Amino acid sequence: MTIFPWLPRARFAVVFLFAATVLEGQDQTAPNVARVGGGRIVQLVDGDILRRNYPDALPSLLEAATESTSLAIDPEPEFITAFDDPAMMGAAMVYVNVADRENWELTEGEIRALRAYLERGGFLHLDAGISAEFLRGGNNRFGQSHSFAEWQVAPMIAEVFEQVIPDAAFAPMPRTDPVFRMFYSGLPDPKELPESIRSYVVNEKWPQGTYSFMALAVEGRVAVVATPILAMGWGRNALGQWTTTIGFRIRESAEGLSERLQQAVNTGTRFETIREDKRKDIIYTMEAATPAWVQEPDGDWRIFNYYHTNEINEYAHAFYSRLGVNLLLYAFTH
Amino acid sequence: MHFPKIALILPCSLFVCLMASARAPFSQTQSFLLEPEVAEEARATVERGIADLENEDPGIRAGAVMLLGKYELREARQAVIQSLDDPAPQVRRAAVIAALDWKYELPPSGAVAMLDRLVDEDLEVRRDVSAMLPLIATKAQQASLIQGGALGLPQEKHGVIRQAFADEDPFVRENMLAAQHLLRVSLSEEHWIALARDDVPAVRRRALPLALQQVSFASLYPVLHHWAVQGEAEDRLLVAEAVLYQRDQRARELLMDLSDDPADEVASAALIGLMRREPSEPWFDAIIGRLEQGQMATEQGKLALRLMLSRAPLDEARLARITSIKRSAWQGEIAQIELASLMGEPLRKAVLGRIGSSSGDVRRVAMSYLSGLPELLIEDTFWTLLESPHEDVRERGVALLLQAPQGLSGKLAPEFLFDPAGSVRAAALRFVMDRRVPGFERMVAGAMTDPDATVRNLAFNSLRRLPTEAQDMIIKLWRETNPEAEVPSALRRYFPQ
Repeated sequence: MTIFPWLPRARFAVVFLFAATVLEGQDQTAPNVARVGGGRIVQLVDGDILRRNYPDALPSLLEAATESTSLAIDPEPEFITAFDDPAMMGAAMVYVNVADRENWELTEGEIRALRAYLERGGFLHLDAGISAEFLRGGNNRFGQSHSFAEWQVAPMIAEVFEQVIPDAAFAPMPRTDPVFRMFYSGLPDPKELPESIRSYVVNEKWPQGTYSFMALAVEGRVAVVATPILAMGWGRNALGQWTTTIGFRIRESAEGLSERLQQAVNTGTRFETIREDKRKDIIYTMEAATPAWVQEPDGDWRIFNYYHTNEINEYAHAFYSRLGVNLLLYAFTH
Repeated sequence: MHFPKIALILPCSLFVCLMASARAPFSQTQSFLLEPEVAEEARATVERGIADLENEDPGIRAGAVMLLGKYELREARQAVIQSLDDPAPQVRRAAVIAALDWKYELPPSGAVAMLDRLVDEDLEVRRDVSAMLPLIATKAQQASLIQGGALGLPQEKHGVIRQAFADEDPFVRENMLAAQHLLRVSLSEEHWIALARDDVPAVRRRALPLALQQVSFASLYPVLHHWAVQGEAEDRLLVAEAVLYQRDQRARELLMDLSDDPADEVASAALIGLMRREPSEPWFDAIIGRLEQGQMATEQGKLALRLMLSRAPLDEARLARITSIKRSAWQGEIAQIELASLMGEPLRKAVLGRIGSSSGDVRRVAMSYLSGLPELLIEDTFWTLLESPHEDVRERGVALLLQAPQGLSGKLAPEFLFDPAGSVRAAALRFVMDRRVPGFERMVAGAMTDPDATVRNLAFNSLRRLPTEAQDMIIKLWRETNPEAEVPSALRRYFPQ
């Protein structure tokens, strides 16, 4: 089978050229900027398309990107069921919510096609490709509703890409990477956040508007980006309202709490998660997918508290949407 | 404190335990029945936490509350609830956050205690509690029922709830209004008027429609007048829509004032309101005038036309004005269809003539009329649809096949499979599959090599819904035409290795 009969090798270069020209002068108040022809995004869903996770998410993000940037993308993604679908070859970006595919054992044909796609300039976003150990355990549901920053891709994803690009491995994207400044830079204004969590959000949770991204480079170019679930923060309904409600998981401490936590017994399970500097956090849960407290590598123990207010919900959606737009523009310009 | 020796039974029924297990199927989750030594350690942890609550340092008390909140032990939860009254705000914040994290396991008594925090001196506490009011109110009502009281919040808490509606923080006021239907607490007229007059747009826009249900129009009139004159366009629109059904003469005056509002949406809403009250010529003329000038946002224009045409017979001159509204404008074209319908004229020309309209709105209305006219669903009509340059018309044409006689639909459906648009081919494929149109196996096999991924996906996925014989035939047909093709992974499950 001819896998890429019409792959226009120059297409990505053309997109890059246009995008680079327009994005230099990115100005949200300038409506007359020429639109960059972005074409269509391809989304992989293996199974019933109607049962995919967060069905409103990607169309909402594409619409938001089209409204706020000069990128013109069809808001409806084109669906494929496997990586050997030729439709993928003409797309500048493939989006996959990792939970939309049950079996991550790729066929030989898929491995070849995906490798060729990435080597020829394609870009793959693996949403929920980072899913901390306490969110896995054979149930993807938790990884869909908890976005937890970890600097390690899910093992099944790592195994797949050992076959697709054998001589490369996923590495953390540095906080200074342009992906975090492609269009939006920094965090949304945190002044509306509750005072008691503001400092944690600004300095630890999402410093300078960054997040835990893992990248795989192909021939020196970032071709695959894995993230914790972002789609949960993108979707809007027909009335423009967010389709999900998001709360914050905040690490907190108090006088003497670290010592008490060291002595505390947990009735759930202990997990390890990897930090950006490869050191480990030890997470203690009391109930499924809900970290209760953490032993940090510097010896501190902190507790996880969960906050749910309107302003937090708005803030989280704004942040995930900004990240999504930045990632889209990154895909189209890299 | 005393704990059972063998197992620590947490405060939940067996039913709840089973539900929790079902929610968290894998083993490393939550164990309600702890090993004796773990139970002993958990008890020790909780006892240390409770002891820390006596500490003078509020930081230590806050840490203890955070820790205790993680345990489902009755004593731990009771201690957290008691900490809602701690003198230090940081402890109360910790207690509120810990208790709210129990969600539907929040004990009714805890929910009642939390209502007091609606008037906490600490803003974050008030915001946290008010944001979770639907949960808290539901649980607090259970407390009332448990004590043999009536459905509703305990009477003694009504005072703090009323106070919270007047909170200095707009987020709290907005949260209170959002949960108002669950609280069932009556507010005074002054309260409602103050909320409807609120300086913060989000608050007053939530409050105004509610206030009109609670307070007499006469009392609220000064507020309505205030926003009609000084409000932003959204306020003025809200006033126009809110007074629509008020019989008071002053409501009419407000609508009159707003009918020449600089914002088209506001003026249009006011005119529609006036026409609803008084279906008479001055308003018809005003609306027709606006439509002629290309004003009235899409939905308002449609509503106005429908109302006008249904309220009173229009004279020839006005009908002529409506039908001659700019031909290119959707309003005129839709009006012509609707006029034909309302006036009992033959619709065939009005509808079929507009299937080719350049306006999607007009086409949509024409197609919706078509589905209500079975006598028009003949072969000629379907060929008109099939040859339309508009994808939406062709796609809708496939849907209309459902209403056509079986012989006709069986004949025409395959024609739509050759449509240039993938969406139309996909709709047609669904149709031939659902109706098992004769020869559908060959059509499905053909669709498996369709250039459009959606159509291919549909064809592949349709295999699942078919009996084995049909699957075998489709696969055979596909093999015949694609002997060398590699089997896509989506199909692999149907192919023997």
